[in-house]
Amino acid sequence: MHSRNGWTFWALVILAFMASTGGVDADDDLRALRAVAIRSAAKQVESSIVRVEKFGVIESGGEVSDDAPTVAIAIDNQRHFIASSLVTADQSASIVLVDQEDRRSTAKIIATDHHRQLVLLEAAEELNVPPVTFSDPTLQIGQTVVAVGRIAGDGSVALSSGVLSAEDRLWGIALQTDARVSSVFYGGALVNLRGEFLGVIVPAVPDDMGEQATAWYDAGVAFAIPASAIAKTIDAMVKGEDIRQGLVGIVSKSNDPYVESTEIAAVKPRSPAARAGIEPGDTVLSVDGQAVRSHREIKQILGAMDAPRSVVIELKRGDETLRKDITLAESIPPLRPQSLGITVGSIAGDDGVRQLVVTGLTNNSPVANVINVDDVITAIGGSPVDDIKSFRQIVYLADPDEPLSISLARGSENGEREAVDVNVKTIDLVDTFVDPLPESLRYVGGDNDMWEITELSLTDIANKGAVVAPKIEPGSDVGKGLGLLVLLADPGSGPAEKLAEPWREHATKHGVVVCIIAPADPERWQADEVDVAARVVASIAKRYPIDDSMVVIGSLDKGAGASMAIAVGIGRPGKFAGLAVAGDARPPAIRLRENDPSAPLQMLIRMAADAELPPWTTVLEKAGFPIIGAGDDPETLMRWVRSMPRI
Amino acid sequence: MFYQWRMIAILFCVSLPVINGDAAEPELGSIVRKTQAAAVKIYGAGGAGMEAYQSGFLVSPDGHIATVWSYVLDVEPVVVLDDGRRLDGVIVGFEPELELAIIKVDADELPYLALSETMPEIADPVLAVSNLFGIATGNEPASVMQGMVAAVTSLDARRGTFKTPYSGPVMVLDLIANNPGAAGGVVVDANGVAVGMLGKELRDASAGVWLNYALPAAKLRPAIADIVAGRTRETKPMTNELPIGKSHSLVTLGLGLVPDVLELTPAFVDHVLAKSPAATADVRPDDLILMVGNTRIDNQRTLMTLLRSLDRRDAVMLTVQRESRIVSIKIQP
Repeated sequence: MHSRNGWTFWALVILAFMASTGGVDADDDLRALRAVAIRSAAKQVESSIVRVEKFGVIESGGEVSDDAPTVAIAIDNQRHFIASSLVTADQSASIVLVDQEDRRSTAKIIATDHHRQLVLLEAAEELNVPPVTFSDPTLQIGQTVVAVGRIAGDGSVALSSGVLSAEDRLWGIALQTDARVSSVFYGGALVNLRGEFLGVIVPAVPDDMGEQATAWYDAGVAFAIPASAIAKTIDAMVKGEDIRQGLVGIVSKSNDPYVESTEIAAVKPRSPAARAGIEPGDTVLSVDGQAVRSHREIKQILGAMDAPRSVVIELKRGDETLRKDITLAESIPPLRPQSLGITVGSIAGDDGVRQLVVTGLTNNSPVANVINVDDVITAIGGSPVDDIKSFRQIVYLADPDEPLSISLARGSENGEREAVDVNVKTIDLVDTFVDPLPESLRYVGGDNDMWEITELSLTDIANKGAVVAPKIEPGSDVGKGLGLLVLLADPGSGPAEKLAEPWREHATKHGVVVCIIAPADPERWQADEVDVAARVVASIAKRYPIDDSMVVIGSLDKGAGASMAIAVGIGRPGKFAGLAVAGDARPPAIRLRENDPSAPLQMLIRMAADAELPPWTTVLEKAGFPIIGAGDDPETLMRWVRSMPRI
Repeated sequence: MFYQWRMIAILFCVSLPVINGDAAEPELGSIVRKTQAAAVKIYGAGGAGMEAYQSGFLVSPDGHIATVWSYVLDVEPVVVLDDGRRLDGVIVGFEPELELAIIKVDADELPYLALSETMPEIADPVLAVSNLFGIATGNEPASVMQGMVAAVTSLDARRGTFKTPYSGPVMVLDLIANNPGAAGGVVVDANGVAVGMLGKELRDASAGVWLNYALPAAKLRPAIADIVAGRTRETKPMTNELPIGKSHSLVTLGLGLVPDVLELTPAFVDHVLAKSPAATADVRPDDLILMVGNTRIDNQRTLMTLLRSLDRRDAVMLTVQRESRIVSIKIQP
């Protein structure tokens, strides 16, 4: 080591160090290198990205236009391009693809992935655009990613860089990044710094936000469908097959997905779960081999699956462990909510355990001859039941064509309770709204002094309103189980106190608190006021004894207040049991969801008795919402509010 | 062997301070400070719910400030410097086609920014310095955002899509530049040279989204130099509607469209007058007019408006869809 060669070695090392440390300036710094890397990464995919133009579209009213220019990616040499379903033409005259030589070709949609909001386009003419490479690169949370799109006018490449924030978002189907994307990126590529194709950027918003998919543009929360998922479905789509989410049909007790329980409250009739023999009361242990602790976890695992794949679900039923092999379905027949025409209450049994007791029957109840008031319900469909919510869900979801078995404990002359088993047929829920209501639903109690009108004042909302409610004084008796009817006023209808006046008598007589809310802006309701009604309900429920199954939202008129009421009722499941609007209301531009049996909504369309339900209600009925067309008068509306708890 | 590695380790540690260079303050930090020093906060006219402030930056040592030409300057503005000095500003020149105004304050030896002569490249790192939301007051420095150039494109090709007289190249930015009060802010590159000025809030009417963009310093430079030097400028006339006898119309072309009954009826050709220029060019019934020149036609009204701005003596380039084919047609009057 002390030879001449050793010294040469050291001299070289020293020189190398000095050379490398001498030239550091802005050009070598990290940001400049990053720019070089980003440009070269974009170059790997940009030639596969074409512009998409739409012509002749009817707008649906979001901030981002329905015919906003977007992009698409070539995925093979057979003129196929993948794009976001934003290009789905409702009534558009045409979809046109434009390459970088400004050559244009019309394109048609040959398949839709309804689950991931993607479409496969086939160009009529050859555009000679190289397809993107599917290479299955490894993903790492926190890695730098680049979104690549094209600007509409001249097709210049558009880039946005960020990190990979998460995988398996939107119930298992999307990557999340903090890159800023807007319409010029929808249908474009997400790549890593090596330019490898990670996914297709789509407009999306989590489904419980009730907003249009493009509402979060440039927000720094952006989603992309992973290339690995597309690689699995592309062969089917090229053949023209649509892709749909795989459905199972199990219902959780509450729509609070964080509750740590996997107990199944009900099973949708004619669903894969029903066919596999899954029953209410079963607890899910694992899905597809993964242990689960909550319904949210179940939803997350199933969320990524398409029909018609099979999945193994392990259940616990009593002491038994069962394995069920389920074939997920594309669709489950729409709900036709069912009813027994009874009301139930919850009482403490002899041993202190809560029990369900029948408290009343409607005058058309299908079980009038076999079930009596005061019967205790011990089991339904073979499964024990002791809480109202689960019982309601099981009846709601009963198969209208099959009899339902119910086990009762009936008091007899000697004071003992004897077990009675009956088989009953349910009828449609909409048919058990009767006149008169059973006594158990009518308002009892209260000193019947005319209720007063007070100003609605919540510190953190700007809306004005008025509340018609009983005076609460020490020693006063307002009875139990008040209903709550929230009515949204059209902009410019005048002071809420005046609008509330005609409701005083009806409210007092029927025991329904009426709350009128006006929009914060006297000219219009704004989308972000959709949570105001729920906050008002929570505040009123603190002051008065409101029965939370008797809470209804509606509107005073048929204008913007009605559209807002529909948006609230449908967009915020679980907050309201009923929605009551006039038939000539205009439904708002919101994303329609299925009626959720763990937080179901009934609808009343206020119209003349001999009129027909308006056409927009057909879509809602197919989505499982029970709809009644009934009297335009406050008396009927009040009666309907009080009828909400019927099962 | 171990001896060799220990020597290399010692050499590496010794040279670390050399690698970091004169990094008492990181490079990025000094660019930020220098840019903030030249950034100003401008206060003027507001009204009807619009904010009464915007941003600007010094472009000469004598107090010339570049900013956007906007309603805020409807009154003589007050300028607050980085060091908190409040000075009265005088508008000494403006160039509406560039959305540019130059304000002068009475002070000298002020820090100012050099203007780039070239367009930056896509993905180049940039900083945007402005008084968005009016956060900074007095001697507080303006706010800094970090990002990169998202795209270099032109507003020209989409005439009618953007409500601005500016029709040249713009830099779309990968950072949220579109904020109240940010207009007139400066965009600098990795060397601290001004490469752009944040533009007024602009909505892309065809997409419905707010644009995050800056007007390039390279385009503003000549106008700024002229105004600072006191030279008057020849302004190009803006294109607008020609008198009816001088412009094209459906009649001059010989076209009839389907009845305009929807809110936005697509421009389908219903009939073509025999022996008209459109007939000679072989425009056919049921053709859907997609574009005239480089402008997208998404409904009949757009087509009518556009024809009014074309000289009837000029040829008209159409792009139409005929069944599933795209056809280019030149109509010679």
